[in-house]
Amino acid sequence: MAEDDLRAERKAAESRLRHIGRRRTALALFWTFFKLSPVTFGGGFAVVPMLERELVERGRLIRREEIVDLFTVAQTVPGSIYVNAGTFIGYRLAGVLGAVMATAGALLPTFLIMVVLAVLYDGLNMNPYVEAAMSGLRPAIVALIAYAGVRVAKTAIVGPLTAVVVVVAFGMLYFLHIHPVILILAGGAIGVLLGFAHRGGRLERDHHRR
Amino acid sequence: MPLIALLIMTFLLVGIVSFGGGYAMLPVIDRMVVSQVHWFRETEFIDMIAVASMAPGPIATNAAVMVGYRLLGFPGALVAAVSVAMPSLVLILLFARAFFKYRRHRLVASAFDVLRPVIAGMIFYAAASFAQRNGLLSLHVSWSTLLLFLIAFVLFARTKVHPALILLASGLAGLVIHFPR
Repeated sequence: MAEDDLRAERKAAESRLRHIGRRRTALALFWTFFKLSPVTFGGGFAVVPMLERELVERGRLIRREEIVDLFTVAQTVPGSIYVNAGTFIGYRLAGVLGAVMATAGALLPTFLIMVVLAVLYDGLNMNPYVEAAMSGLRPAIVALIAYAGVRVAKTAIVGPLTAVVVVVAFGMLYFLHIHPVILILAGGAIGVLLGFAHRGGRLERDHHRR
Repeated sequence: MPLIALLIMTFLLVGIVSFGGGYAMLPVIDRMVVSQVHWFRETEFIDMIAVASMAPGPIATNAAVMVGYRLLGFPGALVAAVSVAMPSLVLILLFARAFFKYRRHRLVASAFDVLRPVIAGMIFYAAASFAQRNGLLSLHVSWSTLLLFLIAFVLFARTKVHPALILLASGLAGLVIHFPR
């Protein structure tokens, strides 16, 4: 896209935002993220196309590329990708109010659904039928978590060093019972130190990372 | 320490360190609510996570709601959910600008290069410790349990079937296999 077009498009979006006003934008963001929240089962990225339809095509409030960028940044902050993306997009479009409203919108459906499930679970806990269903569910949950591990490992392992880190992290938790929080802090610290040591380049080639 | 303060602290910590999606957080939650304070029995915790995985939305939030509700009812659920969501909201609000500026910084990128495989190791650990409590990692594992695990794994990894449907089917399979007489 030509530079001029880009600038014009951004300007138009901004004037639309000014026209609508922060409060109404924040409300619209709440509703958008509320609506799309139940779709986020199994990873936030599934929502990107729908979010584009809401905010880019219908609202024309933000550019398509910006949404993808914000999702990428959202991954580098702790927390769920979808909720973080909501906070970022909300902040970008309507400041702190927008960030809080979009975050609340993203979390509320999950919260309500979970409360209902928790109430049901409490009531059904000792039921023999529920216990039987749970006996089938437990191995499936193990499979789901193992598969989540495989997916993360695929993007995390970019060479022999990172492969060793996966194994060492697993071993430290499984055999030495190290507190997981310590492992995360140590991992980040080692990464920074290695970054210092390898001036001028990344630890390992990361050509197959998206 | 009062229960509610412990609940808030637990989930604030989970919120701070929950990089890389929810499943890596299971060992943290497990460590804090099962091994350290014994709020729940181990199998009870797996069952709660099973229910939390079936709902849409981030697993860490779902687990927080579940744990909070079982401990202190609705207020507990609310407090736990807010605690787990607060750190990332505050972090983003404080550093939104800096994030855009520094996320490509060499040292930040390098920290994440090591963090990602750590997260992968944590998720595998979550799977392994759940499997162990489930009897999946023992010589006495029942054929039906092993088979359910393998079928579910292949379905998750190789097909586009919605994960919630696979979990639902597994629950039904459990009901059929272990039908109470």
